Amino acid sequence: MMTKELKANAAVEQGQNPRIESLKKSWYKFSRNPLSMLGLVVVLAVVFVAVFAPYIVPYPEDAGLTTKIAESFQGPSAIHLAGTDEYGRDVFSRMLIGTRSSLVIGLLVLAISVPLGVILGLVAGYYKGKLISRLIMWVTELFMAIPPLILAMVVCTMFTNGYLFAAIGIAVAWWPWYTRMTYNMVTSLSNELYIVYTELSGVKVLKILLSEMLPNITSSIVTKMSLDMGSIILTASSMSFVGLGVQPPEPSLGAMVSDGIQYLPEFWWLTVMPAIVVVLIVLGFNLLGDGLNDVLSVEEK
Amino acid sequence: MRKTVVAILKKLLHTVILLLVLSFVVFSFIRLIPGDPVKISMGPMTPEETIAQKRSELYFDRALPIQWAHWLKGVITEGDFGESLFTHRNVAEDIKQYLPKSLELVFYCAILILIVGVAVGTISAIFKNSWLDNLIRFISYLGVCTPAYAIGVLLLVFSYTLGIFPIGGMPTIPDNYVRTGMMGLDCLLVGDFALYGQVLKCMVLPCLSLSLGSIAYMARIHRGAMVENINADYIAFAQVAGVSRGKLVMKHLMKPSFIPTLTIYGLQVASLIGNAFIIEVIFRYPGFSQYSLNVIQNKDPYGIVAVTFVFGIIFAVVNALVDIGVAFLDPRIRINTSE
Amino acid sequence: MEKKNLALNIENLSVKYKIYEGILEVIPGLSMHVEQAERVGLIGETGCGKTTVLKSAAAVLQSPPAIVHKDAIEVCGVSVDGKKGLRSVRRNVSMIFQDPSSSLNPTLKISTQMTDILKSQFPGKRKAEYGQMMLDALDSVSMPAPERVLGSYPVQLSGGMRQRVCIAMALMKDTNLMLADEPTTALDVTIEEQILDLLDKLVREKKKSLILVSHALGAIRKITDRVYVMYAGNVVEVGKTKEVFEHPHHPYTIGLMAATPKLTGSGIADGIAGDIPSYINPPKGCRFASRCPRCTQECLEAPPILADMEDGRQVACHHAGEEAAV
Repeated sequence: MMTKELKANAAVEQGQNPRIESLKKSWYKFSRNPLSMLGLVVVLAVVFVAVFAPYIVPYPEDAGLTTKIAESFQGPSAIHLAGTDEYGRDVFSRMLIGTRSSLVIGLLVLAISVPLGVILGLVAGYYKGKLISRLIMWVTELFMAIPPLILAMVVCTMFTNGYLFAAIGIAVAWWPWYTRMTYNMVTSLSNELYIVYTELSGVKVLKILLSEMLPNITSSIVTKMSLDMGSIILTASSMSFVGLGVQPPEPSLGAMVSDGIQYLPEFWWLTVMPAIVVVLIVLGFNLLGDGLNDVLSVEEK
Repeated sequence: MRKTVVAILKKLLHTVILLLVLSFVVFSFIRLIPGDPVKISMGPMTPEETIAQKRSELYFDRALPIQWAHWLKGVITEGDFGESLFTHRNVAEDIKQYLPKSLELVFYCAILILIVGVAVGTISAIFKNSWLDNLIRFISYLGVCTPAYAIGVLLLVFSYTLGIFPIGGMPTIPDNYVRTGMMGLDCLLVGDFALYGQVLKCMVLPCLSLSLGSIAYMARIHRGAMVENINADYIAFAQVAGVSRGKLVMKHLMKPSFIPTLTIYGLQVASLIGNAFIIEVIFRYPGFSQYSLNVIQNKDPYGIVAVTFVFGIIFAVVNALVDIGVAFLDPRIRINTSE
Repeated sequence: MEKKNLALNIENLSVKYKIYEGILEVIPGLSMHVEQAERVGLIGETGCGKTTVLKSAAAVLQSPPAIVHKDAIEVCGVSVDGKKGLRSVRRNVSMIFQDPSSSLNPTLKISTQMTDILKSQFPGKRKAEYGQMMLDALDSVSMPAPERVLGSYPVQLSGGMRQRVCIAMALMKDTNLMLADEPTTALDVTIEEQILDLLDKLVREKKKSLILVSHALGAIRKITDRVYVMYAGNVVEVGKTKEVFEHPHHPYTIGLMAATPKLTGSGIADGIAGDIPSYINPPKGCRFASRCPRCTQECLEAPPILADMEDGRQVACHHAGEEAAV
């Protein structure tokens, strides 16, 4: 209680641009936590790999249906960092390409579910109690009534099985969470006095939603996106583990693990290596998300 | 308390209505699928008339609402979920065969998660910022980020080398044992403890793979709740007022901290059922999740509808149980809903 | 002064918090003492560190985040450090918190919370005896329908009833020192007086020492023997309550007294202009300087020291004894 007032005083006394100042402060806090920084580094590395994978992998041709029987089942070495699989393909190259597709699916899911979920949540939250709001929240509940993974799989298989449809399937299961979160935040914001004043002074609904409400909930949404990225990649890899989503011969991390199980325990690298990569990617996004969460939620307090 | 029960029943009823609507949505989805599921299931060589006859039997040649109403009538009057094009049996029979096995697996997991998760979280909170706490936090963070299949694979590698636990499949349960469909429980009911032991042994690895991630998550949540409540005024007050340290931690701190933990626990258990299919595939466990996966991959219309329906009901029941548990723990909720 | 006879002795306590902007020096260096069976008031505006002092004395200040340094905190002659000290504190200190709705455990029945205290304070009694002790305790705070209260959860009680329960719980163990941290701030004005009277009566009956923190200056004047006036983490004036109220020496105390509306006074009371200074990089001189009508160059350069005055008062002001100038 005491610290809050004092901090506010301090900020005013310093007399700098409050937005830049608060960003600087957030960055300072974020960068002081080594785990958050580790998360940031991992995520940046993942993004780098995803963007440049086709150019940097040692054996680009191994992404497809190459067969080099002579080189099959080699253990990890300097030539093949993560060994080779039953067709003699370089596991390391396939993992990098698989990372790329994981990230693309993750981004696709967010690109579909976040705008959809947030817009519906804004509308439903603003018109709380009205028919449209009830309808939206009812449909949201409808989609939340069954486990997301099952829903995603059902939707994914309904159409042709592939990349895009895996993303659509997961997005169908994912948007309701953004709607509910936005709805909750908007309904509590609507009671804030400054929003009430803005309304009373006759500002248009769209303007209130976009310039008053949205900026206030952005930080929470960004944090959730970063944390969700990890879960989405987990979900997508679980789906590809059972053959939904990215189709062979194109590599995906989940499918690599599942294909490798039959060769356990002698050729352990076929399963263990891609599994480690999945853990690493998810770890990176979670650390980053937690770091953001710490910084942004403390800021709100 | 009575009002709480009413509120929960209302919620359950609401969910049932939601699920009925959902089943209609799924039916319409199935109509949209490219390709005729009936034709695919019967093979390309089947004559057109036979397919047409089958289609009509399954109400696929009727308008969507009629097909749905027919299905609904079957479900309500005789528990008939329609015929699976994949197993060629009534879906209800499939559910009866596979669901108990998954529920049994999830039951053991749920117990494991609750006990171990809360215990680890509590230890971590009590020894806050010690090396033990840091170690637990590190491992549980890793656990949260590790997919169940990766844990499964890891356990497979270990058990190949150690050879303690069977690495897949389940012992055959004699037909005359079957009562509930839950393998372990049936053995217990018959009194065959040797076979029960074998069943348990086979369940160890699937159970661990399925639970470890959730245990890690629960430990994190429970630690967080306890650490947050340590700063509460009522803990300081009880401390000054002279409550002994053991009681302070295990009762005054534990009970309020358990409320958020329980909510998360419900979500975790509910998601276990959805996530079990991977584990059932890896360990060749003949459960409902694996059946669901097959049904979904084969685009089996009545199968998919039934599967989503069953999962929805399980979700709703778990949520209702959590609501009851939270109301039981938190008098504020109990009293506010009854006013 | 024989230390053994002191109910509480705090010497040179400092409490800091480390935050992004720098170090918050909440309490720079504070000493206070309470004699046996003495009732001491602690006044000052919100955020001046009163609660922090009480929590330090009761050894419940969470550390970390707080960084605590002290020469001594002794309760009845025993330092609060170490296991023995903690046990001594727990045996000799009771504390009542500001907000009764957050100081009772929301998930446990009143009877459970009381029994747990009794079981550790008076172990090995029968259930019926504990029951009787609880009823007696509630009776002593004039609680209506004590049986019903015992079976209730805190959420089912009104604010006044909760604070009575808290007082009953705080009095259940036989302690020498009672710390009351604004026990009536969260309550209705009508209940405020009842609770304070009750507290006063019980403390007198049992010959306990008391530190009362309150914004109700009237109550402080009525109940306490001696008063500490705090400003921004520092004690600025100490003296006999009656004398301090009648002839405040420190300019802050003068302002504080003037800010209290009096029944006999005319019109609206004057406040003190300005706010408590930032605790981050606080001014190196007197912390009150920016609001002080007597402020001079000296005040901006060096912090004043709490010094004895001729009339037995202690005042921390470079210009103590210049009241006539105001």
